Parts: sequence; C-alpha cells; structure tokens
Amino acid sequence: MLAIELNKLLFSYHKDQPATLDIPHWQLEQGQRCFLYGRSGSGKSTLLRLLCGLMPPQQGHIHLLGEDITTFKSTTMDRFRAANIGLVSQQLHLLPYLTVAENIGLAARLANKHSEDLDDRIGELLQHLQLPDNVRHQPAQQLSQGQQQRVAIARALVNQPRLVLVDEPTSSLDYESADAFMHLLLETLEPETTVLMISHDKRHAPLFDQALSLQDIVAAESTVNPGGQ
Amino acid sequence: MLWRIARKSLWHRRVTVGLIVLAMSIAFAVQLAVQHVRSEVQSTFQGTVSGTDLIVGARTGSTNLLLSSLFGIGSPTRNVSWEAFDHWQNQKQVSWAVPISMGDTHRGHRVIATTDGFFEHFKYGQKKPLAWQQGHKFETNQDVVIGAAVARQLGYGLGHQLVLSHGSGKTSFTQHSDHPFTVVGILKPTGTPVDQMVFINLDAMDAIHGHSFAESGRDHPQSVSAALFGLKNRVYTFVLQRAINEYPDEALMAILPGVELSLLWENLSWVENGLRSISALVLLSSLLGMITLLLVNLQQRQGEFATLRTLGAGPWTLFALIEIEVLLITLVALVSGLLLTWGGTLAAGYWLERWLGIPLAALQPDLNMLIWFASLLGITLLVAAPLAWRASRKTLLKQLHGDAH
Repeated sequence: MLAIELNKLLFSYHKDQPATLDIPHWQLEQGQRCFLYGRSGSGKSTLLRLLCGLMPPQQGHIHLLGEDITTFKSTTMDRFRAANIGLVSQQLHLLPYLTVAENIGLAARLANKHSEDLDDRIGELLQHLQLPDNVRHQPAQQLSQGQQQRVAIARALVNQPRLVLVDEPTSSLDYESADAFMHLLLETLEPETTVLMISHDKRHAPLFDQALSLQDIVAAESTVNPGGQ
Repeated sequence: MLWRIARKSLWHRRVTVGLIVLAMSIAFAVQLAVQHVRSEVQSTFQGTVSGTDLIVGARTGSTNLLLSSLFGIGSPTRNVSWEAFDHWQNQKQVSWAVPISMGDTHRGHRVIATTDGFFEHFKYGQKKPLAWQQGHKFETNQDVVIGAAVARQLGYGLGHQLVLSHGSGKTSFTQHSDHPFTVVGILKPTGTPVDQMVFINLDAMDAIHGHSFAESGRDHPQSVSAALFGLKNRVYTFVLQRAINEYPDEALMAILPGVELSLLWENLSWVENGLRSISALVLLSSLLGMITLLLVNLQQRQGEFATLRTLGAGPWTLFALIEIEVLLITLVALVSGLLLTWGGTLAAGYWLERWLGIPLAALQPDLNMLIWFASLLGITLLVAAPLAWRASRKTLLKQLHGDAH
C-alpha cells in the first residue's frame, strides 16, 4: 500500500508567478523511511505543508494512506491530520504556558484519542526520549531547547500516526546533538510508520531507507529552481 | 480543554491582560455607577414628597410653586389669604391641610412657618413619615425645629439658641435679634430639602415681624405662602384641583406634586443623558483598547495558532479559543466592575448619608443588571468575533507563506 502518492501536483503562492512546485508523479510505500533533500527555498517546506493539507494545490492530487486529501473539506482534513499525521518541525513550538503532559496530551485530545491510558503512553514516550518523568508537570517554557525538541517528538508521536513528516528539526543544532536527536526520533518510531524527512543537510541521509533530491521528483521542464529560489 | 488553554494563556500574558481588565472594569464601573446614581437620585427626587395630593398657592407657574413650597427655591409671587385656605381645608374631600409660610432664613437655610400638623402629615419616599433624631415638635413661639443637615452643618444641638434673618437671600442685613429661638427638636435625615430647613410655628413667624396673631386675639395669620393638602380619596384630586384653579374669589393654583416632580425630572434629562453619553464613551474606549490588545496579541501568537492547526485544531476551534479568552476577560472585568461599584456606593452612601443626609443605597444586583451584563458580554463577543474569525482563517496561511520566503 502506498503512504504517499502525488499526481500532477502544481502549486504556486501567487497566481501570476511561476509554480513553486511541479511534481508529475511521486510515491512512497507504507513503512518506508525517506530522506528528501534540497537547498533552502527549493520548495521542500511547501511540499510538506501540502502533504499536511494546510494549503491546497492549484492542480493535481495528493493521496495519503489511500485517501485523496485534495477532495477533503477543511474540517475533514483537520481530523485526518490529527489522527494520521505526526509533524516534527523546528518552527512548531510547544505552547509555553502548558505543562509537558498537557502539550503532549493536546495532540491526543484534538485527535479525539484521549483515553485512560494516555498518561501511560506519555510516560512511555518520555522514557523512550530519555526525559525524566518529573518534567511531565513542568511548564514547557522551563525546559532546555533540547528537552523541548524531544517533547515536540513525543507530541508528534502520541497518537501513533501512520505517517510522520519531519521538517529540518535539527537545523539549529550542532552535528553531535543533531545526530543524537535523529537517532532518538527514528528509534522511537514504530517500525511500520512511514517517515518523510526533508532537509538541506544530507548528513543524515544514511539513516533512511531511501534518499533523494527534490530535483529528482519535480518536472524536468519546471521553472522551479530546486537548488534555490 | 479549550477553557484550560484559554485560562493558562491569559495567565501567561497576565500583565497586558491585567491592564485591559483594569481599563474595562473601570469603564463598567462608571456605567454601573452612573446608572445606579441616576436611579437613586431619581427615586430620591421623586420621593421628595409623598402622600400629599395637592399643593395650593397663589396663581403662578407650576414649577415655581413646586420649587418654592417643597425645595425652598425662589419665592411665591403672592400669598394665599387665610379665608381662601380655610375655605378649601373645610371641603368634605379634604382629609388634612397644612399651611406653610416662608420668607425668612437662618444662615442660608429656609425658615418654614407651619403647624405641628406638618410633622404628622408630611411624608417622603415610600410614604415615610418624619422622625425625630432628638427632641420634639415646637410648642411655643420661641421653639424651633431643625432639619438633620442644618444640625450637622451648623453644629446645633437641643437647647441651642439662634436668631432668624429677614428675607430669603443667603445674606441679610436684618436680624430678628429681639426674638431668639431655642432648638427643641432635630429631625432625622430624609434626603429631601426638609433636612435643610428650619421650622417654627405660624404665630412665631408673625411675632418676629411684630404682630403676633395670638396676641391680637386671632387663631390664624392673615395669609400663608402655600398649603399642602391630603385628600380622603385620590379620586377627588382632579375635581378639587379644577375647583381650586377656578376659584372665583382669589387667583389660586393647585398642583399635583408627583406629576410636577416627574415633569421637572424630565426637564433635567439633559444631565442624565450627558452622564450616560460620557459613560458610553468610556465603555467604547475600553472596548477599543481591548480590540487593540487583541489585534497585537493575535499577531504575536501566530506561531501558537499555527501549532494548534497542525495538531488538528480547525478554524472553528481557534475561533472558539479566542472568543473564550475574550469571554473570560469580559467576565473578570464585569465582576471587578461590579465589586468596584458596590464598594464605591457603599462607601459613598455612608459618607453622603452621614454628611449630607442624602441616601444612596449600595448597589444591589438585580434582573436588569443581569440583562445588562449579558448584553455587554454579547457586545464584546460580537466586537471580537471578526478579529477572531480572521485570525483563525488567515493566521496560519500568512505564517506559512511568510516562512516560505
């Protein structure tokens, strides 16, 4: 089964400007871990947002886990995203005034997956991510940067999503910290989870089943410069 | 969940939120206070006299008769002859009649010469009778009864001797020094002009002007300034009013004090409207302040909203979150405003009653206030709704678009 399938995808931020993304066809099998690289401004983050259903493409179809999300209404997409997609991103901050447990639990509540074993699940995730259990009730703003990133992973994974999208989470970290973070993230994921990570830095590519450049999947005649804007 | 996020988010921004809550509380308190004081002043004003069905005086303007007889403001144009007063007080429809004479003052306080029936029949507010703080009614031509405010302002007690001045102005060059009076009674505060008045009996008024009717062998003065009438049945009011107005022997006028007080209050409505306008402007400015804060705040929280959207929160969820925050801010401001007004009116009421004899009850929540609260909540939520809707729909795209470049 395919986790991601893109067909004749065309997206532009402005109608009168050349397309930011033009992908004739691309697919990713379920359970695969894919590393997609490209230089800054090449449209990687745009692709990720299209996959999240946060913005619609002008043309084409996006199938996620067998569903054509381009046909979804906004509310259906919100529910689908909450239930099936985990997003790890450097930009997506924790809510500073909520505790660690509340931040993680928020994702479960928004996906209507709040259950009695949520606390246990949060405990397991914190343990996997090597966070002491006593951080659970600390406000997120009191944690170090590294701890906050690990809490963000826990939040992305608490609903056991079938698809995890990772958007350059380590760009502000030194190599050792970034490497440790990536190992931790990939080890915490369930084996059957599909992962698509985008980055401008190819150093982590060997950790994935496949690595490809965005240039390899966009249309050859595209006006987009995959190497940058 | 949204309530908890809203509560924690507001607490996280407590300094700026606190300032806007303070501004809104003051605005709500001003609104409440203006409403409350207006209604209290109106009920006190309209309760200046009650149980008196007609006030009769020489023909003049009705406002002039009302002001001179009840408030001690201005002077009657002419007097009413005793014969005319006697004629009307003996009508079968009349239950009681109290004559009053004016013309003198004591240190700016109007002197009312009347009979002891005044203390029995004059009522105010919800037909409350006059009550004694100390002492009793006047019995001789040397006795004087003073209102509560006179006693307090001039520091008079029972047994204090005083001299009246000729004329109704604040300053007089003629003192009735040869006829000193002794305070024998002090009335309890009423919140009406009675508090500011000095009462002597009718014969004492004639006596200080050199011709006591008692000493002349009569039992009444030749004329009085006006008279208060109580009827056996109120259905006679208009009949008797018309009869007095058409009395052929003397140009008289009868007014219904309740009606005249209401008309006078309506004439003063510009003051009321002015106060209402000012309080509405204060409220408007605080709402604008809240909107400004909300706008700045929504700009600063785009990242937070983007996070919530990517976690699966739809635009309606964000809209609800923002509206819940506005609701909480408004609720806290309303309750603070209510407490502020309640405390303020409690303190002001005590001070006004003690020093000016003006009753001002502490603010009591009632159904009208609840309706007003609900309306304000509704208005605030409505005012904030377009901003919340815009933020919930547009913020994420703007944020994402901004990131992409």
